[in-house]
Amino acid sequence: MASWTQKKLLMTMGGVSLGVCMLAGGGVYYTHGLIDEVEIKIAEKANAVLAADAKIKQTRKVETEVIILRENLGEYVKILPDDKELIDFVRMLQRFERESGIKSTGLQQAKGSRGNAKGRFAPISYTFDMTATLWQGLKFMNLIENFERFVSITDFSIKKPRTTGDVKTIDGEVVHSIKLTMQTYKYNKAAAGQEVTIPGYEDRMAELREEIWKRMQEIRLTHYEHPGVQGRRDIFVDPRENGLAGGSDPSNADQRDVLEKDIGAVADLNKMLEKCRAEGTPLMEQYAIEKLFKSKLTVLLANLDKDAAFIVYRPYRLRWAQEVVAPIKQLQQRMITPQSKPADPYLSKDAIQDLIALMTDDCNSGQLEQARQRYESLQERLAVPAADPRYGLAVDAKSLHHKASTALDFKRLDLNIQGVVVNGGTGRSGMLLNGEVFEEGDYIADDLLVKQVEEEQVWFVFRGLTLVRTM
Amino acid sequence: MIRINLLPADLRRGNRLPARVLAAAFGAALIISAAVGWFGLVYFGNLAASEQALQKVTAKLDSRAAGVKYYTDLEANRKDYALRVQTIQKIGKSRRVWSQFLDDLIDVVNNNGATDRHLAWFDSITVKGDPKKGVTVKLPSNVQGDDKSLMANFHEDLEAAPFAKELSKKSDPSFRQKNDPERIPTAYLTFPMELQFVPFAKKAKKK
Repeated sequence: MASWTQKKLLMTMGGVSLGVCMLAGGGVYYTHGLIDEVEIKIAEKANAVLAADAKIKQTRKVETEVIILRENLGEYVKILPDDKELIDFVRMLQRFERESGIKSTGLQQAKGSRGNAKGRFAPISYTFDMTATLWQGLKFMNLIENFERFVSITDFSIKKPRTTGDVKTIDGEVVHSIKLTMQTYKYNKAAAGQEVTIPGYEDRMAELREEIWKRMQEIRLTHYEHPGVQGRRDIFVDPRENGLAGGSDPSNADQRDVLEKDIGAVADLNKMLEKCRAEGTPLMEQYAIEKLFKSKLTVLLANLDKDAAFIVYRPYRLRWAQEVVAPIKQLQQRMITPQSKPADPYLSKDAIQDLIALMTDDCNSGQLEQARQRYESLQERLAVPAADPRYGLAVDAKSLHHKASTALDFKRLDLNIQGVVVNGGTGRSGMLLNGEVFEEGDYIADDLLVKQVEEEQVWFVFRGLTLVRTM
Repeated sequence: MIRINLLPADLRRGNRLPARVLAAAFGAALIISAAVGWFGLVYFGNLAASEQALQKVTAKLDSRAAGVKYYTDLEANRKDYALRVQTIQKIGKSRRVWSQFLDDLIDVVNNNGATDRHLAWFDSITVKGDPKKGVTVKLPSNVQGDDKSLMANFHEDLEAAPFAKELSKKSDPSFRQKNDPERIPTAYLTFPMELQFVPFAKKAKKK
């Protein structure tokens, strides 16, 4: 080195310096690469933090949703349960069979429907064979369709049973052969995830009670209530009149006559009731109409069973149910509870005065029963409050009713006066009543006192009212 | 003449480093130091700072991991439950309540007991479901008497029934007159009746 020329020395130094600088530059370049990588990672992680923050912010909302859904889970499980409930479903079929009266002849799982699908809900189909009347079968189908577990009837058939000889009937209804294919679903628990534990679950659940209930209504299946026979005929039976040897049933024309007579009678009764309830009908006319109405209704009711047995032709049975039986029930109901109460629920002053006058006449003429009925037919409209100016009149009417009722009860008493002893002012008179001797002032019963004995008549006090019994 | 330099070699004038070399050496040393310093600054300064920032952000992310996992699990639960509800609703909507259909059909046939318009009955009913085609209802039908207008009335009443709006097809009127001597009247018209319901997929689309 000592022998190196100056130029060589300078060149070496320059070279070394350049080399070191290049190495340093390369190192810096490489380090910047590393920094870039780290910064990308930082950016990624920062984004992940932001995303995590956003998720964490959403947690409460999701928690709420999960609580609502989980609380309604019981309802879903009822609709689409797992294996265990499937066995219960078969048990339910037995219950429905009892309730509807059908007779099952077979239950088979349809081919290719084993419920082994990998999805969350696997369909399972059953074929159910039975013999039943149309109404029994319909009731059974309705029970199935209204069952809390989701069951869909996918196919069905109603046919005449394959029997020889007479057609089998139950309570006069033809028995059919019915086949149903029912489809239900089995819930696959394995496909579901693990349940997350939510802190403070009970409190949150209490807070969300209303929302949980609201959501539950949304998942409820639509139900239909089968109304029953309602006098309708079986649509799978020929309804025409049997022409063989005339049959034992009355002719359709005769049945129609009876039906129309009863429909007419119901229409008359309806008209009478309308007139009776009309605003302008005078009280006395109302009373007379009501009396007539009751007697006509009694006659109609007395013949109802006989007429019902007479009408056997199914189309007429429906009209009978709809146009006779149902309106009679309505009429009876209207009799008990008047449909529209007048604005003033009480009788007018004039009407009460009329009633009192009529009742007084009835009492004086011995028509006690009539007087009592007059009052009782209007009793509801005579319950005038004490503050009302009509109160005094209502009390008078009530007092007359009390007198008439007491007199009627007194009349019914078994009082056989066999003889009297009258002591003209010297002592107490007496009598022989039903084999026993009673003197004036004696009690015959708790509410019956002998007040005065005279030669031709005996005065009694009965429930506070003085009444006379003549010999 | 021989000249002998008795000074040590490095002190001899001719052997001393020239100033240019010294200056160059100094310059080179400076450049090298600067280069190494720059590298050190970048490597131990910037890179370390970035790594520290990364550690910080990683720690931040890790601190949220539990919350995110909880959220993810909750979301999985929610999706699972929501799917069950959706399926129930879908299955529920695809169901036809046949007891209601039969009640409506019975009402049409019974016609409130009025027999002047028609007096009809069926031989049987066969209902077959097909998710693509829709449900087919086969009802071999009969009407009392030989008056064709009664059959037309019956067709008309079926078309006005509550279930008619869900039908995609209904048999056109056709008949064969038959007689049953055991009944009054003996004559009756027998005819096929096929009702085709709109498939639920189409019904849902329409909505």
